[in-house]
Amino acid sequence: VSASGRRAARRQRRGRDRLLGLGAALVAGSAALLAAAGAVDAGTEPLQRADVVPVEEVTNACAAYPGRGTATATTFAAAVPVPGGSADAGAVVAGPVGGRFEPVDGAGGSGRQQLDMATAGAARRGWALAVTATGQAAVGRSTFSVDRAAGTAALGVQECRAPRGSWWFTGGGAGLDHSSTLVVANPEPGPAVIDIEVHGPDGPIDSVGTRGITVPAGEVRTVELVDLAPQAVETSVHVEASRGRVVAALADSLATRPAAVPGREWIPAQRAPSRVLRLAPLPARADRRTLVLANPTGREALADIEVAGESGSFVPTEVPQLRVPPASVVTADLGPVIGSEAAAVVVRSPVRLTGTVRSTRAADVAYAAAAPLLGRPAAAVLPAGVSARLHLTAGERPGTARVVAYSADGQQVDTADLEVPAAVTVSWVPRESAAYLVVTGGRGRLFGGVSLSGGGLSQVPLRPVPVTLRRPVVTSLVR
Amino acid sequence: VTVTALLVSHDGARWLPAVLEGLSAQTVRPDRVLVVDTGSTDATVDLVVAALGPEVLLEAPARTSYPAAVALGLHELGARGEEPEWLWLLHDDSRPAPDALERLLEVSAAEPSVDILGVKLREWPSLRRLLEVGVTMSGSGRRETGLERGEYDQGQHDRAREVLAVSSAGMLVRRAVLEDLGGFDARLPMYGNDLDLGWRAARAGRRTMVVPQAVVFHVEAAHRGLRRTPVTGNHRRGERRAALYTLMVNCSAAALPFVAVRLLLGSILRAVGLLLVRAPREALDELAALTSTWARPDRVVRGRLARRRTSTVPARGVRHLLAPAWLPYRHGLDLVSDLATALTHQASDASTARRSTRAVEPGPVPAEAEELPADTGLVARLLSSRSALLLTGLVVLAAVAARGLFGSGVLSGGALLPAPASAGHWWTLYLESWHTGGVGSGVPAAPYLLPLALAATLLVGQAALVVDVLFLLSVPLAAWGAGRFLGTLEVRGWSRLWGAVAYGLLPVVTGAVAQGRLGTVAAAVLLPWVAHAAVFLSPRQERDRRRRAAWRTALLLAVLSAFVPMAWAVAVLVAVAAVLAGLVLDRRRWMPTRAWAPVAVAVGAVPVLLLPWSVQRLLVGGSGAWYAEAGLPARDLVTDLDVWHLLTGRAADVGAAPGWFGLGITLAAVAALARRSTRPVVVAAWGVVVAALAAAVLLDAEAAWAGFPVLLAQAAAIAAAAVAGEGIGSRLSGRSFGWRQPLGLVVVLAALVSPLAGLVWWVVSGVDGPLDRRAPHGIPTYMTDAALRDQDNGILLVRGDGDRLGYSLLRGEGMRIGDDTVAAPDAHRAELTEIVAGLATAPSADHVARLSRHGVEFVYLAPPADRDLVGNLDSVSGLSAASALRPGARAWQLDAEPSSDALPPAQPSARPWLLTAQALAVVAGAVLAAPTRRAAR
Repeated sequence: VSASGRRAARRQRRGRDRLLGLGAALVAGSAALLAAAGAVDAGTEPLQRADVVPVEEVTNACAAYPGRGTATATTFAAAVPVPGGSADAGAVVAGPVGGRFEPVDGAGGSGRQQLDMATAGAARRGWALAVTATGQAAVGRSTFSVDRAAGTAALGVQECRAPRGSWWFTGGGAGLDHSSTLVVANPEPGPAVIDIEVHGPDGPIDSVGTRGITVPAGEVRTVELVDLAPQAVETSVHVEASRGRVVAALADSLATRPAAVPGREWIPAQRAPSRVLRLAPLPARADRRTLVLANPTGREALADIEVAGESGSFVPTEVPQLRVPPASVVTADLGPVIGSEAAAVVVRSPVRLTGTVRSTRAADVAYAAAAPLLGRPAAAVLPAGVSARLHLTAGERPGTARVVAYSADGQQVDTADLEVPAAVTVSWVPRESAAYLVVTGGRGRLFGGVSLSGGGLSQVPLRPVPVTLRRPVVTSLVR
Repeated sequence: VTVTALLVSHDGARWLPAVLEGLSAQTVRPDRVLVVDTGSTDATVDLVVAALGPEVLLEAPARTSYPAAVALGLHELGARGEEPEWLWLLHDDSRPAPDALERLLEVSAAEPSVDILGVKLREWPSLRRLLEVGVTMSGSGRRETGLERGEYDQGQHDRAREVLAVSSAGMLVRRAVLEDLGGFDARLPMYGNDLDLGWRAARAGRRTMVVPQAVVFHVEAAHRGLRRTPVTGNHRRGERRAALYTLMVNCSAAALPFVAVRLLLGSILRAVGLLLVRAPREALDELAALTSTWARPDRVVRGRLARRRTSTVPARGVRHLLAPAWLPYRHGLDLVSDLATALTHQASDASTARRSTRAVEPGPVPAEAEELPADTGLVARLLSSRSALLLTGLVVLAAVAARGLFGSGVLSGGALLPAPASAGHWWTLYLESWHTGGVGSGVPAAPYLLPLALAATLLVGQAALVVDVLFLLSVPLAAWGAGRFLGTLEVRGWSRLWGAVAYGLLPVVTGAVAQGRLGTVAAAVLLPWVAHAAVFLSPRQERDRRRRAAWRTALLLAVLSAFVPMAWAVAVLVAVAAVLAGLVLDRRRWMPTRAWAPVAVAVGAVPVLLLPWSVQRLLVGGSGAWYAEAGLPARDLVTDLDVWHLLTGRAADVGAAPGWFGLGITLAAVAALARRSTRPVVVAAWGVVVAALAAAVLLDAEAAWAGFPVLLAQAAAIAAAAVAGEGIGSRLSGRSFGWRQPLGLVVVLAALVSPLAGLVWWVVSGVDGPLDRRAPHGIPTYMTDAALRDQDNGILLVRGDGDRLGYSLLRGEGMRIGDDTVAAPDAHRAELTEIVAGLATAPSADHVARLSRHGVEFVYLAPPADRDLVGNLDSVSGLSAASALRPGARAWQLDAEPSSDALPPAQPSARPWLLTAQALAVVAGAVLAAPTRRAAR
C-alpha cells in the first residue's frame, strides 16, 4: 500500500469519526431538547375568571296573602362592602306588579322602609308588590312581607324574591284542614310561560291546564292547589318557566286542630332539588314537627336524617332513614325526636330531594326550608312586636359568624361574634330595638335563620343579600 | 419532354458531392443542369465545376434569396434561349434517389393537368424518417405535413394525391407556370416560399401533386440552423414571419380581418404558452415575427395585390387543400398531454435513472421465458408491486378504521370546522380583501385556503370531499409519499415498507386525525414530497435537475408552510444548518454560489409564493401567526408535552395512540448511527430531528399545538432508521456471532413492533376523538336563509355556561373552514363582546338596540343553553322568542329592524396587487420547476 493510499484511508477514517461525533452531538442535543420540553411549563393560559361586578338593579316581588288580614312589606339595604361600588346612589321604587311604581320615601339612605301592602294595593287575590332598587340602593337590598291574619294569632313572613325560572315548594296541601295557593307573578317586561308539576304521596298528580300557562308581563296568576291535586294531603309543587322568569310563592293555610282557625305561612321556596338539605331554623318550642320530603326524580331515595340540636347532632333512632319512592312525597314526625330545643335537620340522600320541616305551635304553622350556607352577608327582617331568635348551625366543623343588628333607622344596635361548635345549633337573641340583622359567615360552613314567635309562629331562613353579579368571560368562539 | 434541373447552392460543400452524385445517378437524367450559386465561400463552386463543368454555373451575390436565385436561373435560361418544359428544383442539401425524376415524369405524363409535382422528402442522414409528403397550412400558420414526429417511412403515405404545396426541394414545376405565377415570392426570402407558391398556384387554378414514389433526402440545413447565410437570419423567426405573411396574403379578403386578429391573439397566446414551458427565446421569436409582420402592412397589401392578378379560383376553392380548422386545437391538446406526460415522468425519472444504474444480473433464465413479453397489465402490475399492494391494503384498513365516520353530515370537531358547501366559499374568502362575515374584517385569509380551493375545484367543487380525503385517507396518502421518498434515498425492500407504514401511521398515532388537526394532517401528506424534492438539491445532482428541484421544493414547501407556517421556519433552520455543515465537511464542493443557491431559492422563494399572507399577516401578526396551524387552535385539546410525548412521538393525550408504540422508532433511529455506510444520511436526519424538537419545545412553551414538529421529528427518525435498516437482515446474519446480533435483533424487533402495534390500534379503535361526522350546525334553516338573503340578518350564536360564554356573529351558514382565519381582531369586536357580556349580566333594552345596529336579527343559544342567559334574554324587551328546533337550544328574534350602522366600513387593501404578484410568482415557480422541454424537431 502506497503512502498516499494510507493517507487517503486515514482521511476517510477521520471523516467517519467526525460524522459519528456530529451524530452523537445531535442525539445529545435531542436529549437536551427533550429535557427542556419536560422542564417547560406549558404555561397553559390561565383561564380568565368571570368578573364580579356590583349589582345595579334588583327587583323583588312578593304576593299578597290570599286571605283577610294585614300585610306590611319591609325593605332595607344591608350595609355591605361593595367591590368598586356603583357611584350612582340609586333609587327604590315600589308598586303593584303591572301597576304604577312610586318612589319609596327615604329608601336611598340607610334603615328600613315599610310599605303597607294593604293600603298600597288593597291586598287581594292576584296582587303582588314589586320593589325595584337601582344603583347603590340595589346593593344588599332585601325585602320581606309580614302577614298577620285578622282575628287570630297567625303570622306569615315571606321573603320577596327576584324573578327566576325554577321554584320548588314542599309541604303544601289540598285537604280539609290544609290548603295552599300558588301565586305566580311576572314583574318582568317580557311574557313568561310556566309549567306546574305537583307530586303527592302517591306519585305525580296529573291535571289539566298545568302546562304552558302564560303569565303576561306585569300580571299575577293564582292557582289553588286543590284544583290541581284534590285530596292530596302532602304535596310538592314545582314551577318551571319555559320562557321568561317569574316570582312564585306558595301560601299555606293549616288548621292545627280540626275545625280550628287555620294558621298561615308562606312556604319558602327551594331553588333546586339537592342531595343535602339543611332545613333550618326549627323553633325551640313547637307542638308538632313534621319532616316533609319530596323526590321529584324517577329513582327511589333513601334519605339519612340527622338532627343538629343545641348540644350536638344525632341520628334519630325513630327515623334514621326515610324511604322516598320516586316522584312522591313522604312525611315523618320529628316531634318526639327533637323535643324543645333549637335545631336544624340535615337530610342526605343519593337522589336529589326537596324538603321542609313543618312546625306548629298553638294555632300557627311555620316552615323550615333548605337554608343556604352562609358566606356572603345574609339578612333577615325582625318584625316589630315579635320575639326573634337567630339560630345558626355548623356543619361537621365549627364555624364563626358575625351578627350585626340594626334599628329601624339603620343604626347598629347590637353585634355579636358567634362561635358555633361542630354540628351544633346555637341561638342568639337580638335586642328588641333591632329591626333587621345582617349575618356574615366566617370560618366553617354555617347555615340558619331567624325564628319568630309571638302573635304567631314564623321562620325566616338566612339568605345572602345581592351584592355582586358574576359577569361571564365573553370571548369569540373562533379565537 | 425537356427537363432542366435548377440547383441553388450556398456553402453546401458538405452535402454537394452526394447531391451531384445523386443527380448523375438519375435513371432519367435531366436534359440540362443549371447551378445558381449565391456567393459560396467554401468549395461549392469548385465541386460544381469539377462535376458538371463551368458552363452550368451561374454565380450570384451572397445576399441573393432563394426566390431571386430561381428567378435568376429562369432569366439565364431565357437568355440562353432554352425553354425547357419542366424545371426540377433542387437544393444543395437535397439528394434525389436515383429514380426520383423518372417517377415524377411518369406521373406528369399520366396526369397532364398537373403543373407542380413534389417528392417524398426523407431525412438525411437517417434516410428512413419522413420529413414531408406534401404540405399544407393550418389556420394558425403552422406548416402541416400530416406526419407524426420522426415517423419512419414504411410506405404508409405512398399515395399520389393532390396537395396544397410541395417542398421546393425536388419540386418539378412547369417552367411556364412558374413564370406565369411570377416565380417564388421575393418577400419570402428563405422560408415558406414553397407553401406560398403552391397556394398561389392553387388559386390560379393549377394543380399540385405529391409523388411519394419519388424520394429526395433532405438535410433541411437552413431549417435546422445548420446553415447560416446572410438571408437565413433567425430561422424560427423567419419561418414564423413567413407563415404569418403567407396566411395574410393568401386568405380571402373577407377573412382577412378575422385572420389578422386570430393570428395576433394566437401569437400572443403561443408566446405565453412558450414562456410557460420555459422557452423564452422561442416566445421572443414569436413576438418578433408578429411585430415585424404587423409593422409592415404595406408588404401584405402589395402581396395581396400581386396575387389578385394571378388568382382565378376563389379562396374557398382551395379550402379542401388547407388543413382542417380543428387541427390547431388538436395540436394544443397534444402539447398539454405531452406536458402532463413529462411532468409525470419527472417524478419517475429519478427512479428510472436509478434502475438503470443498478447492476442487472438476471441470472440464468429459460430461453422460452425470455421470449415471453413482459406482462404489463394493470392487475399483474398491481399484484407484483409491493407498494401497490401496500397502498391497497392501507386504503382498505383506512376504510375499516374510519367506520364511524361514514354517513351523512360533514366531518368536524376538535380543531376542525365543517367544510363549506362548495369550493366557491374558499375562493371568495381567499380573493376578497374585505370580509363581510361577523362584524367585518380586513384580516387576510390564511394561505392554505388556496390549495384547498384548488383541490376542491378539481374535485368538482366538493369542498367536503377534500377534507374527507385528507382525514380518512391520510394514512395511505402519507405512506405513499414516504415510500416514494425512501425510494429516492435508495431504501427498498422490507426497510422501505417499514418506513412507509411507520410514517403513514403518524397522522393517526400522534392524535392529529382524531383531534381534527387539518394542518398537521395536510403536512403529513405533503412532507414526504417536500423531502423528495429537496433530495435533488444535493450538489451531487446535475445542474438542471438541481435548478428544477429548487423551484419544486419551494412550491411544495410553500404549500406545506401554508398549512403549517412553522414548517418554513424549520426549513430555514435546516437549510442553513445543511449549508454550514456542507461548508465544514466539504468546503470545495459547497463554496461556489451555484452549490448553495438552489437551497437558498428553495426556502427563500416561499414568502413570495405565500405573498398576500406573508406580507399582510406574518410580518405584522406577531408570533401567533407562526404558531397557528390550519384549523382552530382548540387549546383545550392541547397537552403539556413532556419527555415521554416527544420520545414516543405523541403530540397530545387526546386521540393519540399509547406512547410505548413509538419507542421502537426512537430506539432504531439512535441505533441507526452505528451503521457506518449510511451515516451521512442518518446524521442529516438527526439534524432535522433536533430542529423539529426545538420547534416542538417552542410551541409547547406557548401552549400551542405542536403536532407538526412532533411529526417531523418522528419522520426524520423513521427516515434514519429505514436508511440504516436497509438489508439489515442479511447484515446481521452475515456476521460472525457476537454481541451485535442479539442487540441488533432487539432493536429490529422493537422497531417492527412500532408500526404493527400502531396498525392494530388504529384499525381496532378507529378514529376515536373529537372528530366526528355530524350535521354542520344546529342553527335553524330559516335563520341561515334569512342571513344569506340579507347580510344585516346576522345570527348571534352564543355557547357556554354562566362563567364563560363564547359567541360568534354569523352572516350565513355557520362557521366553515377558513372563516376562522378572517375573523376580526378582538379590538374590532370589543363592542359586540361588551353587548353580549351585558346581556349575560344585567340586560337592558339598550343592549338589544345596539345589537340590532350590528346587523343582528337572531340570537341563538346553542344547547345546552345557559339558564341565566336564557332568563335574561327572555326578560329583556326588544327580543321575541323564536323557534330553536333543537332540544336545549333557545332562540330569539330582535323586534327592531337590523342595520349595519355600527359595523365598520370596508377598508382599502393592497391585497389585489399582492394576489397578482403571488399568481405571477406561482406561475413562474411552476414554469421553472417544470421538466425541461426538448426541442420539437
